[in-house]
Amino acid sequence: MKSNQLLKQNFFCVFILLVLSVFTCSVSAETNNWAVLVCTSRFWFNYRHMANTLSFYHTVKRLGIPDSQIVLMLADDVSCNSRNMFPGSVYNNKDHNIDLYGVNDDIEVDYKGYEVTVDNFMKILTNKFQHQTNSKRLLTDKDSNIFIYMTGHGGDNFLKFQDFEEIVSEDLNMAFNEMWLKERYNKILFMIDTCQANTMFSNFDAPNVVAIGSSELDESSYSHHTDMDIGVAVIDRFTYYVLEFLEQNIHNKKYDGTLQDLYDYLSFDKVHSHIGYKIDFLNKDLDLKDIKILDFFSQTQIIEPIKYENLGEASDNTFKDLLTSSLNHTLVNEKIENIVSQHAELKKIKSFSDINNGA
Amino acid sequence: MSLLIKFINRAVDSGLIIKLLKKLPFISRLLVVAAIALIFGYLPLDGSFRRTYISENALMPNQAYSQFRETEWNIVRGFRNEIKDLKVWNIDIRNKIVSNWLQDYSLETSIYKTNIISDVSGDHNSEVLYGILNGQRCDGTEAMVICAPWFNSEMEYNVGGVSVAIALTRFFTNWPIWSKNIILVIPETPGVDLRKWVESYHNELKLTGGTIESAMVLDYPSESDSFDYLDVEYIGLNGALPNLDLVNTALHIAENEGIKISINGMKSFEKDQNNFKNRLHHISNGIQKMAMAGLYPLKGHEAFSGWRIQAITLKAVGNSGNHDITTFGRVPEAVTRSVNNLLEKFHQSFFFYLLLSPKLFVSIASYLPAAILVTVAFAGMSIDSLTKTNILKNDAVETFDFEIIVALVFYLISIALSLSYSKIINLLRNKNLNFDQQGKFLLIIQVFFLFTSYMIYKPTKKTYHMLKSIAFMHLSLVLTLLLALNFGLAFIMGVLAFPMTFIDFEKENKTKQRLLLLVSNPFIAIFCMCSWIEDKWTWTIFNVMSSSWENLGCWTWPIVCCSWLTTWILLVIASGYSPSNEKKRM
Repeated sequence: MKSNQLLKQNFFCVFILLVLSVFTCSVSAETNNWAVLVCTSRFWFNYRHMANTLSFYHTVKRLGIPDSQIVLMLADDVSCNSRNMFPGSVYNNKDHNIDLYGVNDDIEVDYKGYEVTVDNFMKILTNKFQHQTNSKRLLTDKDSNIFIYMTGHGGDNFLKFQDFEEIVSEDLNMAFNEMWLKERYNKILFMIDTCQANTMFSNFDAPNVVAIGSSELDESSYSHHTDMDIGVAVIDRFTYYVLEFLEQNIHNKKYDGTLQDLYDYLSFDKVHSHIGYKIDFLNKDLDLKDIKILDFFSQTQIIEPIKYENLGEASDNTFKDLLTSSLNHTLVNEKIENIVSQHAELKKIKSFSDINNGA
Repeated sequence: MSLLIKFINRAVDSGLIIKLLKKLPFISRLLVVAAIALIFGYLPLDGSFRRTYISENALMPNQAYSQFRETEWNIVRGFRNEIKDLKVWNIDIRNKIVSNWLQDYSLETSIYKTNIISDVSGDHNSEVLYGILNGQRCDGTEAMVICAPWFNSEMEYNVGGVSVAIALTRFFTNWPIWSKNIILVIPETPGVDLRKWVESYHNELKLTGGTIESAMVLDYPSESDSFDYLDVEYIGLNGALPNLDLVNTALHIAENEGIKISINGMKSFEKDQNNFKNRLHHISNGIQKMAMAGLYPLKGHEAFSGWRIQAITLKAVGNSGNHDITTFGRVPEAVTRSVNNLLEKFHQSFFFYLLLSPKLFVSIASYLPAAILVTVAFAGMSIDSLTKTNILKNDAVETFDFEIIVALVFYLISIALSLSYSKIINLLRNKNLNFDQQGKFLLIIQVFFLFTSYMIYKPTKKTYHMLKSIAFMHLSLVLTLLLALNFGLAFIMGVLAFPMTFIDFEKENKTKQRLLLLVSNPFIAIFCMCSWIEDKWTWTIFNVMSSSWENLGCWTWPIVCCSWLTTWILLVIASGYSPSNEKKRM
């Protein structure tokens, strides 16, 4: 009987805490980090590009960005390709340790197949959808840090989408500038793994953008290794070593390594091509060593407890203010709406003892 | 443009054109020498060829482990024991038994029955067993063929080939990775019956597995566990070659398995590719095979020519080497897996090429000029004759010129005659004459025709030159049409027919001219060439040519009849001319 009471008490505490946490998410530098992960190539022999992107998807999730804030674009579905010896699975290593597609069954591909187009990608970045859309949108604000990762087949100043169209560096630069004017980001980490990747960002002039690419002009980006069972290369060298660095170094959110550490790690011996970067900050002279990696990844939620009594004074307007000022994600909105509707009932609760008595 | 006109005007003014026209016979001969030098002198030289490479990204040969090894070893041996015992049975019994096996492995099977009417091999019934392995997750629109004839082109019992093909198909049923269906085809021989099957697969067969992308014919006649080297044959009918990517893939895979490789039966592994002579040997053999495809017993891959199917024959030669029979099986396994990776039809690499060794090639751009030069040489000779008729001179324009009309009528007659020639061998199908005698008879007709025609008709000078002009222009045009499609045939025809441009009946020595005509007669030239290549008298060659046109759709016979023969007949008609006659007429 006593244990039952304790359980109830615990349950209540947890419930209150949950309510409080939702109510009080305060704005800090890392609360609204987003990731846009793009694989631009189709076809079975480009398995590795899908695997690259999915690997980043996992790492980004592990480092604290929730699914709701990741825009994942996969141009093809290799897991269901009839040539795949492991139907429904995608691996990024021949040891088959992690099934990138099957882990917990919680993959959310936001744009798939022929939806992965230059047009859609630009729409996502600039949030300029012509019509009302149900597709995933990049709902960032001026405090958001965005991590953008692209992989596919590229060349001098372009990246191929689907063997059908291509995006050039000017397009990207234009989109970033527009985003800056619309106050859609605080800073962007743009990472690209293609052949001649560095040409994609060498002409960027959008502020607060850090770009890292896998290879110089006239250089190829190579695959890391082939899985002889699946019969294709499963990951690219650049991506492989970026992931290796992130996996080896970031164990918790106290990690304070900078992009310089990552950059130094990706030596020519490992990547087999010369990686490059471009950094451009408004009114500041920053270098890679000044930018922490976790600025982009970790989604830290700082909880400021509000006293229980304050709840009583909360009116609908307070919540609406909260909505417009800091939180702009639909999922959170829904939760808050629910709480508002339950608010009347909550008010009735007088004391802990009432609940313990089964009231 | 004006610059060009200016240049031409100046050339005309200076009399350069007239000088060139006078030198035309010399220029033509020079062109043919240049063409031969290009093929046999320049192409095998360092720097004029390239190393082969896999052009299609999707193929990815050797990126997956080949698994047809120890686990399958006893299965292959089991099949081989069974198939060895089947040799005594008729084809229908054999096919019924194998069909049952295939059904046990969940293949859909069917037997295609055909009746072959053939001069050379005789009329007979035959049947082709085929089974379709439907890929578990494929859409069923495309297919890859693995073919193993019961008897190979040398009429040896293909015990190893059939057992590997069946064991391999059984092995493939366990894999979930097929994006295309796999069709196992077991014909009696790799010749006409296989060709008929391919034909009806595209027309009437009920059980089909989609568009055939690639075909591999397995030829392993020995009962031994091991073989010496792998020979890859790829030259198809009518100048059709498989995409270079498929040949490269097969050679690349075989080499990776450590097998000694050879192409076109050349034992290439013994021949250092850094040696000029070896490259020359490969190139001349390639051209000869291209020209003569369909005139020898088919290896198997030829049966697939003409439907955009990339086909090769893999032949295991010898019975004492280090490579065992499962190694032989791993080659088609890995090729099948590579082709399975394809998303589109083969299109990346070359469809027209010559191999100078298994790893060196020249593409069509390098060798085609040779055939163009030969056709230009004939056109040059035609223009040369035309100038001698004086019809090009302005003062000699007549609206109705009887002598030229005569020449044109003879042209029509010779076309009709040569068209009927393609049927002449049918007329010769007399039970009293055997094949050898038929061939000899045909050759004798040629000689007879040559040495009697001048007694019947004697052309005037103008008609004589006009006939020559039409004759050479006809051949030149046909060769132009042919040269991109079947380079080997066009080139060899051009070179063998070229002696006829030397004839000049304005000279008094007629015997020499007639000998030149004799040498450049299509039948005599082809007979001599084939006899020289095979090192024996090949009297049956014309029956083979005609029969391969009827049964296999091989162009060589109609093309020879309608181009080379027409030209030759025209020249024979022209041969009645002599200057002394002309003087009498005056």
